[in-house]
Amino acid sequence: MKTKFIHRASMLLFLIFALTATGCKKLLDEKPVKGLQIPSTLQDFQALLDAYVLINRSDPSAGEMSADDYYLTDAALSSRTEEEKATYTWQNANIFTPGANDWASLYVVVYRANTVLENIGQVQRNASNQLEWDNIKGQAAYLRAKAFLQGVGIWSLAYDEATAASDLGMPLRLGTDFNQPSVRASVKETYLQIIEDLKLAASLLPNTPLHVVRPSKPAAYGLLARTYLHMRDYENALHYADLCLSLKSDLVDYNSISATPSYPMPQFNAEVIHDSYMSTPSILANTYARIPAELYAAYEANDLRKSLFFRNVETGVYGFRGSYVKSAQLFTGLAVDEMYLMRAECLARKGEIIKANNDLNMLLIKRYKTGTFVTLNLTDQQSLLAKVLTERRKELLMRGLRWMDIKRLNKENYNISIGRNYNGTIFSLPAGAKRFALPIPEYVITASGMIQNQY
Amino acid sequence: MKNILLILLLSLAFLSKGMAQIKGWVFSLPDSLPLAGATIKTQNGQTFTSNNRGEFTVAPGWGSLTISHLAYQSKVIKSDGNPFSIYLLPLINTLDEVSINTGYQTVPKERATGSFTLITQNKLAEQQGSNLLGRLEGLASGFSVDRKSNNAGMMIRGLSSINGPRSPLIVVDNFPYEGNLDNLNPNDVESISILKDAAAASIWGARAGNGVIVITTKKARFNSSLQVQAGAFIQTGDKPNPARLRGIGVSDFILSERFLFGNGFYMPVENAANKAPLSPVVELLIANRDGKISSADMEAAIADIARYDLAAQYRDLMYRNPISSQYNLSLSSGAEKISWNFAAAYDENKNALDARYKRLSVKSAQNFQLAKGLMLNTQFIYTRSQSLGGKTDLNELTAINGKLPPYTRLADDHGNALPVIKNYRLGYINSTATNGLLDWNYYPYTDYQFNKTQSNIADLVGSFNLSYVFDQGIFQGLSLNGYYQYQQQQTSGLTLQGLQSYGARNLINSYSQVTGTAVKRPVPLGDILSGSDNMLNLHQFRFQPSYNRRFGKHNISMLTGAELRSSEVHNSNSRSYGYNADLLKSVNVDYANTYPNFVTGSNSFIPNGESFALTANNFISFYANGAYTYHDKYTLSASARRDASNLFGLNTNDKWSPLWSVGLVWDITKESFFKSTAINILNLRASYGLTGNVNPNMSALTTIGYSSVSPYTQTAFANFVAYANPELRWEKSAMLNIGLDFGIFNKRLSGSLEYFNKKGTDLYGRAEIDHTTGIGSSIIKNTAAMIAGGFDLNINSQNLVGNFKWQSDFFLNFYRDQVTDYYLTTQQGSAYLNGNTSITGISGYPVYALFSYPWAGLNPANGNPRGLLNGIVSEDYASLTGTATTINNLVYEGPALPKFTLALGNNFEYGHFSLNFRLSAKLGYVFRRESINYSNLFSSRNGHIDFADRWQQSGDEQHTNVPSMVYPVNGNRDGFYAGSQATVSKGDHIRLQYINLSYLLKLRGNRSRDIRFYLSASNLGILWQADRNGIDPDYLLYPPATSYTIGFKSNL
Repeated sequence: MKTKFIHRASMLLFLIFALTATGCKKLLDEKPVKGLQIPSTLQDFQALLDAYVLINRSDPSAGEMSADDYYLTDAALSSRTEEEKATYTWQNANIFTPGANDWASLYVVVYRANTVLENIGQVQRNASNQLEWDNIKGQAAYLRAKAFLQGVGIWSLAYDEATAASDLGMPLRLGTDFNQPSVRASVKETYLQIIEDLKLAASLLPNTPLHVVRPSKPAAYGLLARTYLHMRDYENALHYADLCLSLKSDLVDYNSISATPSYPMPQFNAEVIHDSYMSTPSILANTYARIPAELYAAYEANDLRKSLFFRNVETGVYGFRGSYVKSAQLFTGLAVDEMYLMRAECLARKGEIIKANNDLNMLLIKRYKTGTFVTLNLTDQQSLLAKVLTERRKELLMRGLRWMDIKRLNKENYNISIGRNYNGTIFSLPAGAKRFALPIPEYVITASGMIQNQY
Repeated sequence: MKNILLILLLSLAFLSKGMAQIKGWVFSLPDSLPLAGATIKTQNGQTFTSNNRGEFTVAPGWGSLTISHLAYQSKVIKSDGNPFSIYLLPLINTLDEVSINTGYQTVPKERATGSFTLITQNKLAEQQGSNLLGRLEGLASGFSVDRKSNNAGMMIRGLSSINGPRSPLIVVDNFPYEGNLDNLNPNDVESISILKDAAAASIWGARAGNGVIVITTKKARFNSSLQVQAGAFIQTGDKPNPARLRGIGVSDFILSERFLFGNGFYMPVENAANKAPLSPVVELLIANRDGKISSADMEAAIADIARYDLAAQYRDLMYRNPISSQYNLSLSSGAEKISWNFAAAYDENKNALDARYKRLSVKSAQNFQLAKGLMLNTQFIYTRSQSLGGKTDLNELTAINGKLPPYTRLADDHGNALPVIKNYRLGYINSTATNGLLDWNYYPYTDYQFNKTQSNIADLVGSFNLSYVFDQGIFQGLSLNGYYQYQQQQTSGLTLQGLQSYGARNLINSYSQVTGTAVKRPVPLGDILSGSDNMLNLHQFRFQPSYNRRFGKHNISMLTGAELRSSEVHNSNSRSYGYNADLLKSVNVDYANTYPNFVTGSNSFIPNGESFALTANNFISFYANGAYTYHDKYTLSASARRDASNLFGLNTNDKWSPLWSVGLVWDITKESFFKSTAINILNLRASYGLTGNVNPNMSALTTIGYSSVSPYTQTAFANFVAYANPELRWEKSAMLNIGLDFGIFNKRLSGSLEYFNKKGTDLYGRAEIDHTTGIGSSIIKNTAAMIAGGFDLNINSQNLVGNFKWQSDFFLNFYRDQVTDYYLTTQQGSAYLNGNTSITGISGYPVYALFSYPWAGLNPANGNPRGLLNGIVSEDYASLTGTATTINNLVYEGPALPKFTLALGNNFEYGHFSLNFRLSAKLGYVFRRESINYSNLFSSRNGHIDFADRWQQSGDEQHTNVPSMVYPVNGNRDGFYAGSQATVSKGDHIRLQYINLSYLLKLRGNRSRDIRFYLSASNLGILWQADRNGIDPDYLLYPPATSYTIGFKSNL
């Protein structure tokens, strides 16, 4: 009987070692969490770029906060955070909260795009997947360029061919290795990188995206036009605005929109080329932000935007409600209206008077009550240009574009200086001030050793 | 030992010198300790007894001897008259009080080289309740609970890790316990061993870095008559005291609202598109300004409002005295070849907020002696519990834009629920009622009646243990053990928001669209039902050969084994709208399109509560442990272990992590030179070894996780879970332990003094990283190192014996730690001011160190807080809290974890009465107090009682440090004060944990049958503390309320 047990015990022993040997590797290779992936397939890459909260809802706000599309009363500003006050009054330091801020959210997008650009080569591009492969790579290139473009508009001075090679631009992180130190490129290098990425994107992206939260070929053209406009390369800006409009030129007739809802403008409407909005701070929400009276007064009585864009907060005082997001969040994406205005400006500068008038009329007829719009036919180039810029101001307010417009137009000698008044203290930002490049968050400077903007 | 059946063996025969008397020795198996008190009966009826060394002498010329012992199985032997040794196996499962269960083996305390704390059933029974581990604080030396930091939980001998997991491993009957610890029936626990050092814990390998708590449940014995134990208790307690939340007073709050109104603070929000609510007083002030109400009426209305206090209403209307009860029964019996036990317990609790908890636990265990040497143990534990949610607690009762005003009224004089502010202005809500929407008011007094939150847990643990012991031949001393345990725990949660609940009404209204008189409701009328299902399946398998044998003066004890754990957790969540509980029907909703919010018009999707998850963890381990004892005086132990797991992306080489320990114990009393009779125990122990710690969330590869589906593209989207971190290794903790055990005057006074030193290397450190990298602000690397150490003094004394007995147990734990290496680039002082809750990570300072901004008092002119900037008094708050103030400018206040933890338990017995009570103390640490933060008060009505002490006029700075109220508020001013020296207090305190009085009623009969009746009170509060603000430094919100218990326990 004893031997029997010894025999059984040794059988048990044998069984255990047999099990262990075969089972070990399999058990150790099992995924601890289902749904976890090492990003390696086209589906993974697309999934990273479809994270709409980070990609489409986190555009920077510091530029708009610094611009003159709005103002706050003393009482309203008093109730805002220290960082919002500091940004509003153009302080030279501590205007960003550590942690979540514009700088961090832009580079989150850059890292995602880099992950895709760095690894997509591991997926064989073949006849069956090439459309998807191209589309994903194009999206990544577009998103990286968009992030750099938004950043250079905030933290660098306006593009000036004479000084661009030495002006401080953005750190161009083009890979995912986080051990690489961040070094600021020049403004020129930054813009060249943006253009390179966008041209690549334009060559890869489809004409029509699955949804406007994804970039497309017209979006790449549109962003190229915006980039060149910032560089005051109006020839190229015209070229790409034209290309964009050749693929997408729908305009929404504002007569079809009801002014009853609190936020009347439909989201993802026909004009939207690429949808995104800023992570809107309270200071820009219409609870606090007021539209300057002279800006509101610039809309004529028959201009539908006068009611669709604004809500009356107290007698004679208005807040903005015209975002293409249909909420208090401010739309910062690309839309067809901006393309018409860009093209009109470039044409006006070029002296193509008729075409420029045409573009303005195309847009404005959709903005006025039916039958009330008087077709423009401005013949003087300067007054035409002035009209285009006025319409640009009126159409594109609170879209995150004004800050760069001020910087660019000051390079064109428009001499736009802005001022704030808070509890009797006057703050001013004269045209050409170095403070038009915002200070980079201090802790980023500490951690990276990059050069801070000097004032 | 519990698993091993009878062996009798005759060891190597000793050479006889032909003496008249023959010597023999009795030893226990499997640990080969001398057995005192064994009875040796000769054939002719003569009896002898073995002495302390297990030695006995019998006259020669007998035929056979019967050797018996109370706790061991008797044996009959024959001998040739030479000296001989006899080994007895224990009656199964008699857990010796001085044996320690490591989960792999039971080690006699005399031979334990490591550091243990053993808590017996009797000590545990001095407190009652359904929670077991909650009783250990103040009872178990080296055990503490941190309730404040953001990594809070149990700790054994303080910290071994900085950023890694720090909770100890919990083992129940041989295997790590994965389920909910509340499932354990406290009455079924035989003992708890806490393994504190490397020699004790290293056998648990990579999960033992934070120490191990081994819980052993009761076992049945062979050859025993039926034992019946029954008990019951009922417990009640005080209501929570809302004053402990230290909120702002009603009149102070109204004062602040008037002040803000006067400054135009509410103007921007009055017309906000989101219709955010304003408090009743502000509404009155606005109405008065707009001429809708006269000043006199307004003042009268405000005076009326000021009569009510939300905290007092919570005490009177919402809180109730908690009540809980428990009933338990256990039976056990054993025949020669089979024994069994059965235990059942039923608990029912109702807390102060009316949340209910019910638990039924049933255990059935059997031991079968299948053949000589072959034993099967089976055990099944089934637990069902149910929790039902209660009322909303005061600190959770909030509006969308902050707390409720302290004068909020919950019910009118007739007990009818009143609406309070929630998401929208009351005036706006009233206007929506005419649109055909559901009532949009929130009534917290009754709302809980319409919300049903339920969680059910069904847990089954089945264990099988087959063991075979070789009793002769070359395998003598070898035993083979196979263990298998299966656990299945199903947790199902259910939240039903009834149509009348605010949650349901609010969601339905938010999505409603009104056109004329028609109301379209994308979220349909009806209840909202959310469900969650969680299923844990765990298989644990172990094969363990062990060898115990004595060769004369040499005793060898070895074990080795292989272990496999595989656990899988499935999780799914669901949600139904328009649910009707009577018809069991729900209504389909449209998740694919957005709908405008009724109030703001912004578009959003109807929340879809569906999600699924699956996690799987596999561990494979090999281990070995050996101890060699010479002459019962010197014991040397060693252990080694290798673990591997499937944790994602760890480099293959690091999947296996070897860990080891060595230990030594010297029983000095056994030395021939040791002559003292006063000293009964004198052991010197030393051990050193490595244990590990692993964080399953760390990965060596960039990984992404699919989160959800984008509502726009209808494609799944993903986020990064971990960023490539190829050099990541397991944390290692090396620990040295030196201990002295002593017992004097017949063990009247016994105890131990231990010194320990831990050195953590390769610790996970949060390395600050440039945000520009796009992966956040920091990454985890094996960059940190720390040392920790201290001493533990334990003393047990029998102060009085005789009719009036007095016993005391006392422990003193001294602990301190220091970061020796940490990688942090930022020098900005404000990064280091979270001492209560997060690690500071500065080399040379404790892991949790409290730092402050230097404080220069209040400005006598305006009550502004003042700090020091480069040694000069300053009110430049942006600089005081900004980059200009570096870590070098801060003041070090002290550690945030106690240096000294002490406890003293006393037990008095007179006749049938006994009384025991326990005091505990924590000394040598600091904590940061909450105080008034004006930004929080203004923006979210979150005030503090310190508001009453604020600076109001020159001279106040003499007796207060609370800054004046100013407008506009300056967040940095508040931040400076909150992080300054002015808000730090000493944490030192002494607490009375419990008092227990009992009466033992002995029943007649030959067996010992008795009933013990008891009366006890727990959580009796702080007796003394250094801080004078009356804040319990151990608890963030409420300290536990005092509870009172009455009950009985019987042995029948």
